[in-house]
Amino acid sequence: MKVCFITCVNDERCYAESLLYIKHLVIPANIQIEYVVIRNAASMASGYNQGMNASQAKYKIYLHQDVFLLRKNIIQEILDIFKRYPQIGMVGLAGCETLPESYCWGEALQKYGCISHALQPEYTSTSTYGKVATARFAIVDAIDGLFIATQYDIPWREDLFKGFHFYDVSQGLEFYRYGYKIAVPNQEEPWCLHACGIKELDTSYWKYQKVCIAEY
Amino acid sequence: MRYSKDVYIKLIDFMRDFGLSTDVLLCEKDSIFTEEIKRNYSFFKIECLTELAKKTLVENQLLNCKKRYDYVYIGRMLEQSLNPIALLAACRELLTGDGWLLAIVSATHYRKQQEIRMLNIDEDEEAIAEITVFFRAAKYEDLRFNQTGECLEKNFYMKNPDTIKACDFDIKPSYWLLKAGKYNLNEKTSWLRSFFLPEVRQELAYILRRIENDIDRSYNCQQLWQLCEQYEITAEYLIPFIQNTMLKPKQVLKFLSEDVERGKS
Repeated sequence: MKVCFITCVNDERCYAESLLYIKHLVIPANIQIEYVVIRNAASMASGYNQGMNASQAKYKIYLHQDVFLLRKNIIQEILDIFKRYPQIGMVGLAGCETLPESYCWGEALQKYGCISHALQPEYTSTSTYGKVATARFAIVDAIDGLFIATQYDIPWREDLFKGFHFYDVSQGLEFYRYGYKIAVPNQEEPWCLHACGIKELDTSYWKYQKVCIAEY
Repeated sequence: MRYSKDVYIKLIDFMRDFGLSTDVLLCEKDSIFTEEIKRNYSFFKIECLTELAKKTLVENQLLNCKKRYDYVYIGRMLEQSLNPIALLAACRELLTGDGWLLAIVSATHYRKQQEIRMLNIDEDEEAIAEITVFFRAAKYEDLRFNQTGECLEKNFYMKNPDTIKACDFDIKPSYWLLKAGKYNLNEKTSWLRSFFLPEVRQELAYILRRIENDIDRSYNCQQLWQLCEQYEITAEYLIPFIQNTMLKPKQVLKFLSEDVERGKS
């Protein structure tokens, strides 16, 4: 059984660091790890389609190049969810219960998951969104694109999302169209660190927000 | 001057840390105030929006600004704005990544406005919660309040005799000085940035995180000590860096002290 990590890369130094963390994860017995790197991707959706088609692995983890996986057993824990609940198609590390009208998951009232952000080299902050008391994971409408694990291959909407925004929300809604659900596991402490630095939203964010709202 | 010495001193306190190349935008109708700031802090790059006859003009002018500023100051505009969220969002667009918005808000005026809107807000905490909603909606991640003290109250009455007539005497007039950041950056860490180039700080963070997450610990300890030697990074720098950067700083510090002990023996 294979698990494939798919990453769009335009910063080799950052990706090398991310890869180091993947290589120090605990690999469950009988699991092979595969890496697919997409360079010069026209968009996240197009890069992820390339990555998806390049791998035969049943389980795929679409990971941003600046995400460092801290949870050593993360592969086993994700696989446990997928194997036990075939109706769950996607797993993320942060997301929202109900998508708000803006389709920006971060603006939702009820969010789940936990992410540490390294906004500056010397400053890390952790966003703890929440967890459910009665289960190991929450069922959500949408997840953040920094980490998306899947057990089914559904094409990313590169026809609609030609940039780097809303491809994640869209993919979640595509999974729902196919009848699958999305989960965010309970996390006592962050399972990943997002070494994102400070980035300004470009104007395409609003453009693809409109595209997302119009489509779904 | 429109504002009391108390407000003025607090504002200057915030501005004290300005670097020589700091870009500042002051949006303030009171030209005496802006001239005072310009006179005393001539080494800042200060721009002013003062000739503001209509409130909408302020917001339009802000929207048309192309430049980015380290500090944007708005004096008593928020409580008078017809669309405070749009005003705050426009100001946010003008800030650099780690820039700050400084805003003076009249608590009394704010409460009166809210009461008129039948929200029955008569406690500071509730008014603060309301203002927080505006900032949150405008996507600020950091918001700090500073309420002015006794001297302002006296000053307010002395300088604004007309307002006394308009206000209920039972309402204690006061200002808030708000400081809002685009992102939730820890002020305590900002001084750490001034010591080393971003590449060195980044490498330091990478190595320390690997140690924290048990990735080739011994090898990365060696890397750390080499980096410290190469760039003369002292314990006085390293310890707060670890405390602010690591998710488990105590664990990292313990491991490093053990590594130092092992090296001695």
